[in-house]
Amino acid sequence: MMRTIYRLGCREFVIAASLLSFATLVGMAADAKPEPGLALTVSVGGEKESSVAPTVALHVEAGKPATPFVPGGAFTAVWEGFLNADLRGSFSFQADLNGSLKVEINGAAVLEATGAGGSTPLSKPVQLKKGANPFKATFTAAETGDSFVRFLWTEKPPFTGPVPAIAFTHAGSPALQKSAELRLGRELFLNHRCINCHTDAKLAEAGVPELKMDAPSLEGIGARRNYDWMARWILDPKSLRPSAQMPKVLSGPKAKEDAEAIAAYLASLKTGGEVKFSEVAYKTKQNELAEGEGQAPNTEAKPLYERLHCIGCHNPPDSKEPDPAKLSQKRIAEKFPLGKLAEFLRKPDAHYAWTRMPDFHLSEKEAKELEDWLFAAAPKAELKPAPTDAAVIERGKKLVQTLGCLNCHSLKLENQFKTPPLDALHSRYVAKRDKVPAGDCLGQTPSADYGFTAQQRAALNAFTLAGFGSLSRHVPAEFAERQTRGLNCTACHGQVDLIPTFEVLGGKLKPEWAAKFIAGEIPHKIRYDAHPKGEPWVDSRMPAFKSRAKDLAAGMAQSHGYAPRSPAEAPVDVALAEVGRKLAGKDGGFSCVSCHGVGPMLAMEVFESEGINLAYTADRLLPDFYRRWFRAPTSIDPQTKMPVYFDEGKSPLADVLDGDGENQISAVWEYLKLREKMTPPKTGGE
Amino acid sequence: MYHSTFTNSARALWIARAQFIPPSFRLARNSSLGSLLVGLFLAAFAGDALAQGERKAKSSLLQEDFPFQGACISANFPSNNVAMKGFAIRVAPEGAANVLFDTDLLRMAAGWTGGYISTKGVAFDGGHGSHPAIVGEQKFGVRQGPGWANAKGEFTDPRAEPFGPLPEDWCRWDGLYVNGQQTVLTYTVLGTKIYEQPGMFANAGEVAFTRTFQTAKAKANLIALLAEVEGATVKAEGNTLTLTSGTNVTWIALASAPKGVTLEVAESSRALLKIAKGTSASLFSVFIWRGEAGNQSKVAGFLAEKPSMVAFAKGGAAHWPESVVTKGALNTSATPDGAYVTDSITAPTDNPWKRRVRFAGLDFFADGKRAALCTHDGDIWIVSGIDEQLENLQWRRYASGQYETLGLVIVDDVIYTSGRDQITRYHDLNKDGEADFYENFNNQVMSTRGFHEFLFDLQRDKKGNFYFAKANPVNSGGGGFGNQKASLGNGTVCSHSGCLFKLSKDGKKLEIYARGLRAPNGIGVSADGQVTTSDNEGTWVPTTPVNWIGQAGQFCGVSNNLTSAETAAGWVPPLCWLAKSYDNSGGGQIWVTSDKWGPYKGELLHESYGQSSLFLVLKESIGGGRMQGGVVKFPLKFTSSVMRAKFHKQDGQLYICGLSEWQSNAAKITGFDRVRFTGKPVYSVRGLKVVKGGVELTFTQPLDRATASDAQNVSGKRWNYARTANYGSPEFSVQDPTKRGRDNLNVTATKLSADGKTLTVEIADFKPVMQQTIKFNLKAADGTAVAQEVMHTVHAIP
Repeated sequence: MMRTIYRLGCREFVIAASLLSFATLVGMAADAKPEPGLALTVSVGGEKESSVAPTVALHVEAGKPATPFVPGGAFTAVWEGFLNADLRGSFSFQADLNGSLKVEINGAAVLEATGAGGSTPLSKPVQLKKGANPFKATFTAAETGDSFVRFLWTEKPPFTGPVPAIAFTHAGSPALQKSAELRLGRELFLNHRCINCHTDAKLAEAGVPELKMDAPSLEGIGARRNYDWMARWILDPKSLRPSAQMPKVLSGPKAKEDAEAIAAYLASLKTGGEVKFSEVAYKTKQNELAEGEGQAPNTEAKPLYERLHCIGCHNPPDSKEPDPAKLSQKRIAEKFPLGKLAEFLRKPDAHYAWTRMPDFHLSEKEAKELEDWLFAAAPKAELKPAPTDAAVIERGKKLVQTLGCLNCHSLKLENQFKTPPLDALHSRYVAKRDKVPAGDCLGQTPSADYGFTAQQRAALNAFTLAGFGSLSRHVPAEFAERQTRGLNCTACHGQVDLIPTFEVLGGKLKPEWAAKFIAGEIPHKIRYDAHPKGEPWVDSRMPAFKSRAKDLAAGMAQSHGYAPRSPAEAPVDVALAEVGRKLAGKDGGFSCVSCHGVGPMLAMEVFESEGINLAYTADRLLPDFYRRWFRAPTSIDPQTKMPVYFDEGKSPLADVLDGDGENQISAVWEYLKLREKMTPPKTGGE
Repeated sequence: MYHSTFTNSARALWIARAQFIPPSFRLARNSSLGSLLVGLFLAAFAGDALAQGERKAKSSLLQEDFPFQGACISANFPSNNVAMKGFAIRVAPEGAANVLFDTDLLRMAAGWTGGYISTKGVAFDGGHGSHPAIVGEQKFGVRQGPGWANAKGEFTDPRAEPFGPLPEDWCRWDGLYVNGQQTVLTYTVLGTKIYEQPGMFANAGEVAFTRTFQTAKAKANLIALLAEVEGATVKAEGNTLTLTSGTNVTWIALASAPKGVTLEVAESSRALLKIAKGTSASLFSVFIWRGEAGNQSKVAGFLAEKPSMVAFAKGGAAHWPESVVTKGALNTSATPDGAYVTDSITAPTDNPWKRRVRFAGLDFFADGKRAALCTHDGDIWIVSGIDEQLENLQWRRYASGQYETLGLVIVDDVIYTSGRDQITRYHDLNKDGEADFYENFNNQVMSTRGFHEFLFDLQRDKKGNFYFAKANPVNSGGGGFGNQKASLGNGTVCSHSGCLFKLSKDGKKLEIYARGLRAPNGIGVSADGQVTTSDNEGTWVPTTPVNWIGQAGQFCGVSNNLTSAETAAGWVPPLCWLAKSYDNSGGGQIWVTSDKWGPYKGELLHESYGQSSLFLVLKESIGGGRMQGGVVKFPLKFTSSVMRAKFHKQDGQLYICGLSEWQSNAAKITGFDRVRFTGKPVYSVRGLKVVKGGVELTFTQPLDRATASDAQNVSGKRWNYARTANYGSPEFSVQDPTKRGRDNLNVTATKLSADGKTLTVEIADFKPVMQQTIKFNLKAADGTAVAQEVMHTVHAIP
């Protein structure tokens, strides 16, 4: 049951982890089965909050809060739970640290150190039992600078790696249940844009990013959506999409008529929504077919819909067994006029910056192909035309002005809707918590009906009662956790070939590069979709989530204990880089060029997708990750095609840098740091 | 003089030896036409440089100092003129003139000047989806069809598929002789033995090609196709033919033709050589020149020359008389128990000929002191000095110019190799340490244009049958297989694609022994003929398998567009699957035949090309000729990949060679290592048996009872793969097949047998699974650590 709930939550834009804990709260508290991650308690002064953390890693900028539920300042973080070993064995531990860390396993202190930004010495070997070993780690923030910790282990010293999330479990507790409910309430508050009606001037200036979330603009909406579909959506959004966040604002006998009037007005808004597409063509192929080269094999291409893994989030229009956790596209032909779906697919955020639909960098041709495919698969829609009666349109306009539509949707039109501000809301709830007025959003017969479940109401109540202080505390790591869950990143990451598992990314990518990549500002695929001679390789491509990119990238890094900004890079050691170049080559090197291109030079002999071009590596990878990857790639991804070259630090190339694997890894890094100035290495046979 | 342009000392050496100058060439030189040749050579360089295009010319990939190179080679005309099994033969130095001979069809496919061949292709520049093409100006060509007419005088191609040789009673390719820089081709047409030496004749800026024939008494009317000129006007005059097309003239002439040998033209375009039935044994030449009308007089002097053929039957002077001396290294790695160590037999990668050395097959001569190794680059090297210390290793080159030789075996001190084109048997006629006659032992295997149609390995059983395997024509990017419509350099699926072959001892009978393989880079054959293969992840291969061929005709799982549904349904799963971390790309297998190599006599070893690793195969029969099992690794380090292995009959130790080309962690481009048993006790798992509720592991030494009886010291994981037409497979949870990843095994108990050597590992919810690991941190009864992991497959539980 837990698994089902989790999966459902993961795909729906609700809150998987919170729900998971929440389910525990309501029905499964006595279940002693360990849950993933560790219980993390953060204390500042007298305040503290507990939550579930995947691993022992954090990065908190000086003075900033470690969690939204406690203030910033000197903090202590305590992780508790179990460290699980596959097999009885001897492990050594280490931490990269600014602050103090004490780690206790099976009741004994195994690591106790204060670090100032570097790595602690490796602990003495500690015997772990097979299975769960009681675990506690206590971190005290650094007195100066940003506090951070990354907790590492190894069975084969001296090379350590982060203790992975899969090794940690914890038991549930009332404190965790309470925090899960608060977090769920806060997330519902943010996702439903409560702040747009219940305003707060201070938060508007400096709150969490989602407080600024928009909703689809109504400018020119009449040209982009069909009247008939809009009328039904306005009448009851959840009837078309169970996970809709827009409230049902019409009720009573005139509801349908009102909805049609609003839709008629919106349908009359034909101008002002023109879309400007990017002038930079996104590149997927590495080069054109050279004359006289082989041709693409005569295979039937899979539909683009399948190649882009749209099914990760959607039930296709003709789905026989729709997954209730995914968005249905059955009514897609009712929703979009011809050509407007393709326009939407090419630039989903043109009228809605915070849309969850990402930008796949589709070409005009691809967008048309997708639209054709979707329309062909969708049931034929018989659409009523929009009324053109001026009185009906005028009535619709008035309703838009008075029902609160304009609190979320932008339109150059006077908003005549009024609601109590956030502080009033809070004080009213504290005073009259047992007597929520029936017409309130959380009342029995709400005038704006969000369709909250009993659990959701309870969570929102708890959040309101706790006060709204957490809305002012933006913690990027927490933002990243929340958003990646909501955006369904793991529908592709770890599930589609050559898309890395999500868990490693924060400790892998430089946040600056990740921000650009997530924002869609890297104008090419990092893996090519086809072999130079034609056959398909990597169908999928990373779509852009522009509105969230910067905070996501920073938060992902911080949740792995890395700074949201990369430190300055030392100048390239030119002599060492030349050694690195030799090592990357075929002639006395590791033959990296068999599978990786180097700038304009193509990979020489590669099957099933070229490795990522080495000229991109220094911009992409955190140096720590690069070292761990090169040293032991299968320890990070057991399925990688990257060969394992080193054995406990020893290189098979004994004649370069005395066969010292670590020095060889450093030399290749210096070479990689040359980036686009890299001179391709020797390829053998010259 | 022409050689004034040579700066390369090696080339100057041959000139000193005066080996390469063919008779006609010598004639030309005697005509004081050095300036012409200088011009030709310069043109050759320019042509080469231009033709290399996007990839830099790599001169050492092709040899200037050896007269032929085998490959699939395309010519410019007529259209689709591709020699699937071609030899590009130099008839003048520096690529000044060359011909292309097609050994499937016994046709002289093309002649050209001003270059040699491009270095495209997996065995040259490493490129996928391409193969060499002629470089320079083509002077003549014939279509892709029989080079000699059948008994009815027809040139109709009788082959069901347009690949492989013509019927043997019509055209049999016998092989080629090399003497210095000259090549003599030999074949049998309709029962008549023919020797042919390609050559050239040059004068005053014009180059003509010569084909000098030495024929036995003609047992039938023999007709050879010489050249084709579309839409030509033809003039026949005595022993000459003139085919004019526009301003270009193709002039063909016979010199010293005996009675019964004539020239003819068919269909106004095809120049034919006719040898009438009963024509006595003869020596004559055919002369083919193409140029602008009126210039043929410049080369007409050829007709006055008396044809001669180089003395080929007794061999020629050595091409590579020098030895490359290397020193080996002992104890380059060891297993933790010290029972096995590796010694490195240093390869001659640094050699005066700048030949790339990538070992792909090995065997020992009867004296045990010398081994022969073939390379993917088409060379054979012989190393002597294999002794305990390896201090004086002497390497000699034995043969060259072969079409991707990836397997080698020695029978009665005669070397055989498997190449893309054929099984070749080599003869050193004058005992100077180099092959002079490259005999076609069997060339019935088909070969298309695919860059990935490797012919892997060459092994024998005790009856003398040979075995080798052919890859499927994988597409350039790795997925799917070449098809007829648009395959080009990816090749074409044919009935030999992905098959394992058995060839009779006498080389006469080739049969398909197993099918359904993708890229089986290595096989294993026991003395009594039990055959195994590995394969490589890709289409229909979820991850590396070790296939056990339980019966002839077995289908190993890889379907291509010729595979019937019925065949596909008969798939026999492999002995075991191996995840990438164990073996991302399989090599060969070898049975332990030595009793000087520790406790494993009679066991099977598996070699990993991709992970450069050696494994002991743990196997058990599950009935019906099927097996299940897994592997445990010998934690040794090798110089390069682990691809081919042989036990040395005298010292009883294991010798392994390999190369690094495609995805591998191999350290060096090639390696040749010895795995030596030191005599110390071996501490290892050596057997695995599936029992109800778990597995029994058998060890070479009794285990410590306390650690072995504690389930805390044993763990494991399991997962499945999806066998589909996709390239490889992700790993899927057994518990939730929709999720990717591995599940932990729940090891509930471990029980040690009374003799302390068998550990029963009890596993909760134990069931058949494609991949399972069992890892243990145990101690032997004497306290020695026994920490290993086995990876195996469970097909059946008793």
